[in-house]
Amino acid sequence: MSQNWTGKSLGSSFFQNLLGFFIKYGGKYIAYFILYFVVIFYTLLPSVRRKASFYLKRRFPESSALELFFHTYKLNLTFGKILTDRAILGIRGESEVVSSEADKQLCRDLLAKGKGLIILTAHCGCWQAAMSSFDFLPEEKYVLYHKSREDVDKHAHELSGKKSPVKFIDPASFGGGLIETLAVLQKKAILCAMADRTFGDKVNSVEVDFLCGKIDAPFGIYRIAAAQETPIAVIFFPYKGSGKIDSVIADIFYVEDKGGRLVNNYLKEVEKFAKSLEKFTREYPYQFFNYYNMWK
Amino acid sequence: MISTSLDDVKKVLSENLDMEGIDLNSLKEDSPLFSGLGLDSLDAIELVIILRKNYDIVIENMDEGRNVFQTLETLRKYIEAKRKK
Repeated sequence: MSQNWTGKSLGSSFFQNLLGFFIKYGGKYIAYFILYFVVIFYTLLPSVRRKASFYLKRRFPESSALELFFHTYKLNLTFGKILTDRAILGIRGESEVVSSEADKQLCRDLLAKGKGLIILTAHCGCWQAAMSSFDFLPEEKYVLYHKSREDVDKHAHELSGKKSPVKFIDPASFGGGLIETLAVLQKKAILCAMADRTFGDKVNSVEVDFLCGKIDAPFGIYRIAAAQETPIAVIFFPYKGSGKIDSVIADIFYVEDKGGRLVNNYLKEVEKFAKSLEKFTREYPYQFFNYYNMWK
Repeated sequence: MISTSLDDVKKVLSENLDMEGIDLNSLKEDSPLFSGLGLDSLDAIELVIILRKNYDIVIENMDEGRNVFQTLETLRKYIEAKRKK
């Protein structure tokens, strides 16, 4: 049975506020300690195990029911730690994004071409902290991001009360937010987009292979990159332990402008992204956070 | 004064959008772009790209786009106004 993405947070706002309280007054290790029990509670919930199973059954197809339970626990625990770290970043300002100097220089070189930069990532690793790793670049930063009304997870800037370092463009708006996207890239800005989910109009999606199945992935962003001649960097942000986030440039490419909106003009690039994401799930099996049935 | 006729606009659209099955001669000034020409959200992006490439006009956001892309005439007037500047 299919279960679509709803945007509803896995945890309740009560537990999130409780964790926030422990982070503020007890420090991060107290919060981690509490987290282990909170995650056990959530993993015992059939609805949570079901949401996680869509991905885990494809990532670990040979697993028994018991093994799947432990995979679910590990997945939820990593997700919990990442959310806790994001709260720590907001409340206590303790977090470190590790990017190699070579990667930083690569981003500077791409931006120097004067066409802006599109960073494609996915709902995996510490994607919510992704833009923090680009503080070394002075250009304006935008995120193509849809926040559901049922999503109670707070961003670091919401917890700290500070102004967001990035501006948001809603992909659920008409045109998938791509019109605003085109405008900001013309101003040579940096745009970060989640390329693993399609929001809004489904005409902006194409079917590609992913983890032994077919998923619909958006392709409008590649159309924009082609029209604007903007380089695309596929970057993931794996969690590397308490307060440490890595950034991994998985691929860099340009999209040839073949004109028009034909899906097949961009299929090769969407497949490239899906392959990079699949490789990420092989390296970091407990850092893929699409808790819904994204397969057809 | 730079003039942009309705026929000019129709020609540019037909060259750049998939308007198969639509008789250009049947399109009037008040023809709605989306329901009338069967365009969708991806075509909205194509329209923005067409404006930039053909007329060097940048649509900043969809609120602006919504007003501009109502009918062939609103689009034509917008292009004419922007090109005068």
